[in-house]
Amino acid sequence: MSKDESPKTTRRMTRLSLSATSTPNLKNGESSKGCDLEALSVHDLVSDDIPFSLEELINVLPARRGQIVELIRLIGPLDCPMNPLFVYGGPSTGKTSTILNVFRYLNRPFVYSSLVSCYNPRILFENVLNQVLLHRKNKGNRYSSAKRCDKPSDFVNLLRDALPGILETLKGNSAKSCSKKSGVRPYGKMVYIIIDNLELARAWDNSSNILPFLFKLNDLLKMPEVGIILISRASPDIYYSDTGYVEPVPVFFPDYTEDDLRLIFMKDKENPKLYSSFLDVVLKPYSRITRRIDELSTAFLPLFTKYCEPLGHSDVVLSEDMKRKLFSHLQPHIAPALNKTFTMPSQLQEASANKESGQRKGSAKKFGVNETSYEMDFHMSTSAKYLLISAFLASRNPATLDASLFDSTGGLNNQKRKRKSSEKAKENKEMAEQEVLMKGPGSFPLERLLAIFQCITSVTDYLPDDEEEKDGGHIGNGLMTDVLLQLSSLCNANFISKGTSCPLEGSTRYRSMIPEELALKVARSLKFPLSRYIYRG
Amino acid sequence: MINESDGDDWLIMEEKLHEQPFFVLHRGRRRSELKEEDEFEAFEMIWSKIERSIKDVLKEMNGDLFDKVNGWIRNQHSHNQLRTAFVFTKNMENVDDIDTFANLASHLNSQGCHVATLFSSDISANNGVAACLKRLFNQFLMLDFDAAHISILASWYTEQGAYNKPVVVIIDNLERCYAPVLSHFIIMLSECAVKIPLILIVGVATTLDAPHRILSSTVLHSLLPAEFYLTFPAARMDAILEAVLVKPCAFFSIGHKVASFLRNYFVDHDGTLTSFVRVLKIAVIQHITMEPLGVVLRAMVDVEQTKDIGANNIDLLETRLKEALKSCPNGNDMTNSTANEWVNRLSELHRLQKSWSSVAMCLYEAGKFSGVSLLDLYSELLDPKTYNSEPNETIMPFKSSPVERSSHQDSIIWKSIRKIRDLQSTELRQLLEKWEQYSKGFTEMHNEVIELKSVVVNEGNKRPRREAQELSIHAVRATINAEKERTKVNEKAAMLLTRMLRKCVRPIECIPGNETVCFQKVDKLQSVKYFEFLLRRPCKGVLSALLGDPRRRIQLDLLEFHTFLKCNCCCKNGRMLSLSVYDTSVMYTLAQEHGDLINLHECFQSFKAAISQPPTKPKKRLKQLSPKGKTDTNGPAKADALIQARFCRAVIELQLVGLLRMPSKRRPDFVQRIAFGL
Repeated sequence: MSKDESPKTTRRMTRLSLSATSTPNLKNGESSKGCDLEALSVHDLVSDDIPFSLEELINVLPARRGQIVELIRLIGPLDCPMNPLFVYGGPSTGKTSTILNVFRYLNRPFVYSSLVSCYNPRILFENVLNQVLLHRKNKGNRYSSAKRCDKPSDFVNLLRDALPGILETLKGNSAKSCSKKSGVRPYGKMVYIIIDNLELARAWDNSSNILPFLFKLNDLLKMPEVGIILISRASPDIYYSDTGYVEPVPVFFPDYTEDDLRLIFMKDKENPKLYSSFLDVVLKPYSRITRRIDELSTAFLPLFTKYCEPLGHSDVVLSEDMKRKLFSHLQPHIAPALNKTFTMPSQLQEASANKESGQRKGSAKKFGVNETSYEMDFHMSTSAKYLLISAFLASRNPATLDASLFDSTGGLNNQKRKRKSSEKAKENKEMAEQEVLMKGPGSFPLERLLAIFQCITSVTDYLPDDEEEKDGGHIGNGLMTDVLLQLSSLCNANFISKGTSCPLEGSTRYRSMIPEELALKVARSLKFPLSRYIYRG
Repeated sequence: MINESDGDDWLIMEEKLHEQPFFVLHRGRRRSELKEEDEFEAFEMIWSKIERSIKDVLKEMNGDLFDKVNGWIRNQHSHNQLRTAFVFTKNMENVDDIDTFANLASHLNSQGCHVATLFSSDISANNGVAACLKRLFNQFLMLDFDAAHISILASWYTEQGAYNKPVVVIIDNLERCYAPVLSHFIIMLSECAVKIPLILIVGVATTLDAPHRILSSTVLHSLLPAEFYLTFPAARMDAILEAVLVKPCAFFSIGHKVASFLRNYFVDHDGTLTSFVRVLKIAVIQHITMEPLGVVLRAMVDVEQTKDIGANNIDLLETRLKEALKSCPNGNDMTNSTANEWVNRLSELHRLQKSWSSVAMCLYEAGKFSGVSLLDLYSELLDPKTYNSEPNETIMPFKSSPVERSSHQDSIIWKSIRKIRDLQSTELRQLLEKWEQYSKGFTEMHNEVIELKSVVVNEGNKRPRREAQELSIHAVRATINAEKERTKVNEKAAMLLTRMLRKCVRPIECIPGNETVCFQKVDKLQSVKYFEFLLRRPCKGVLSALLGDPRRRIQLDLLEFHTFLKCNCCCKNGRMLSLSVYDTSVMYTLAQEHGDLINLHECFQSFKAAISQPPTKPKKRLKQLSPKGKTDTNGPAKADALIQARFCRAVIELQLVGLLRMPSKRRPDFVQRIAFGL
């Protein structure tokens, strides 16, 4: 299994990466000075690949035959005006790579801008214009754009001014190639503008202007030589707010089916049989969770090595027996790996688990710091720990229970009531508990947090008596002193979230963001009996 | 000519502005000006020494990590993912890490990387991803862009010409970043990483899974992660403590109360080295200014810097000390014999301190096996109570009666010593090797340690032969014997340490003459007054106030300036404003007359009136100095500018201490009072 060919690495061939080829060229000593970079020409808008056939194109993108054919049909033959296209589909379904590969196949000049890197209208406009004007940013022009362009109307005008230039050269070019027949493939007389990640524009400040503008761009330009293709993760419905323009032709990229995934993952495998049997095991459970190629390939990589472990290095004939053996070897690893799919590339976690344990031993020996302090991954002051626990309790427990939990007389009353609790009451409690779980951590005002904090610090009186005496009491009540400071550091560390102020009470409300495990861990490091205070219905 | 004098005028004004607090100070304490200068020099000298050794310790601790990161940058290559190093800083507070990452940046820079540092404050919801790029390009390209495309980075890199030079982007704290902006930024970088060798270094303050909690799966999939760990803050703390206080680096030491204050503050509240260092700094200042003989420290440091103090240059010390004593306030009254007595006392103190620190370090080494931190041990060793409570002919801790044992139970000292008895022979040998190092220059202990070590080494040589024997009853007996022997040696080691402990470890507060080198006034640390901070140059004003005085204290100080200012006018007039009153005080007193909104124009007018009521001294000087032709037109304007500048500074200082809020967009002419009443 050569790593470069794994589907993971069919990375988006964006304009950025396409032009990346200039770096290796330079590396070969062609030109050592960056400033001598030659001026861009029309050829730079076309990817200069060796021509390849439709069959090859479909082989590169095995599960996208239908979309490829449709796209080629919609883009039309050379020099044929086209309707704007709207390509959409979920993330990691091959939209961008299909489009770019289709253009490589057709060998037509195009301009590509992704809204990931063009994060506001001005940069988008200038980026498109730079490409159309064949402008290169360098030290000479202080890395500035060819034209400054803020407004959509300016953009249309500038684009109109800029396009004829490039279209002229294209026409000249195609005339030449027609007359000479020198094997240079014709570029045609059209330029295509591809705008990727359109959904990001919805978060822009002026999205209500920009999005309709982009949809209308074709009508506004009124130039049949320009084709516009929009790529988006979100479906067209959410964009069409204004019907004053011709709706672009939608092309949908559906999520891959299990068979598609198999086709994709089987591509260019060293040992297809082995990999196929591996996919038999993992594909089904995984495809229920995610069908994103990027997530799946990172998940499969370590699993496959695990799968191959019993084989050793020898080329074993893959019998049914062997398959069963491999399966039983892999099976215990699948379920835990499934849970990690969304959260992280798994090598990180494994590495972290290993390293952490190694680290712990190493540093414990080296620095001899108290073993118990190593229960925590990081240092927190005692006061911050108590505050975190109080926040956790405040979020977890209903406010009405505070009195009974922290007040001794209230606790007694509570117990009396408990003894009387009937079946009905129990049921209600269960319901309530369920509700709490569904609602997630509750929010609380600062006063409640401080009250709980004071209660639990006074209950545990963490300071041994003699020490308090020694300190002359100055730190006895000390945990309270900089509680607001601690609170703000906890907020900064993302342990407590600070909400907007409540419209009724007017004060800011907080919410604890930590999982119970972390809270328990913190409590353990303080020897604080947290579980006694958690309301479990 | 005119231009020149113009410049002069400005200079004078600036100087005035800068020195205003000192002007006030000098009015009050003109007599002690000379003394102050001396104190200041002494402080500078002692503090610079302490600071240097702290820096060295941290450099050594971080150096290892920095090299690892550098090696990782050089070694691995990825073509399609953004290589990312997560540096776990292991401390929720990130004050210390700012320095660490700055050092990392300069280290990598010196190793031939392009480095840019983004602070988490750059990655905020307000500014969006544009601000990140702006900062990035600002540092790499030295150009300022309002709107930039990430591809500029690639163009710039190709123009640089050196294609193997990695481009490193450091983000100091993951948790404080605004996650959506950070994700966007990382995705942009990862697209750029296809073209240029881009590397991301991200500091993570809290849990190991923080990156996964904060970043989305799409972002994580575009990263090729590696992990690095900083040492635990407690370990760094111990290292600093060892370098600065246990091995007294500038002869400065602290009393038990101060030590336990520091310890509690570190454990309970803050946990950053920055604040520890800050308390220490305040302690040094306080010590030098409060203690009449504090300046003597300087002489000691001076002598030590010329040569290590030994028997040979004790004379030098003597002469320097005498000089220093002479310059002390009542030094002139001092007879020669009392001076001699002092010198003897101090050199004795110094000798004791040295042996104290070697024993303390030996104890710490033993304590390491049971996970004792130096911070705890240090404050316990300094406790006069443990020392006094211990009867002289104490029984060994392990032989003591149950009652006594229970009292020793929590004691870290006895815990450490008890641990020695349980050590394996290899561990014991390690320990003895350490002891040998620490007891250098303390012959009494050194010899015994060497003796003990030879016993252990001999035994270690015998051991393998025994192990080779078959497991028979004989062999079992042999191992039992060996075990007995081992415990014998262990016991000897424990005994030695106990003896040394009893002999040398006297808490510094119990040694006569300790006041000269030892700072004990813990209350001084807690109520460092606003004015003292403001007036003292080394502290650089309000910002370094450590514990954050309660606002009430600051307000009181601001309003009751007459208790601080010892000049005639203020003493007489009470709260009446006069010329010598500090601007911020004037401003705050004026603010009292307003409601929660203060009109800036009105306030400025009254401020102007207040500080220029009587013909002011600065104004007079100004007029005299400026050329006559120009004065008429420019003079008042400049005086106005001066007043404006003072006004602005006063307002800003009030904002810094949290008593005022700056004008908002909605009401640009008003500042808001935050604190009401006391």
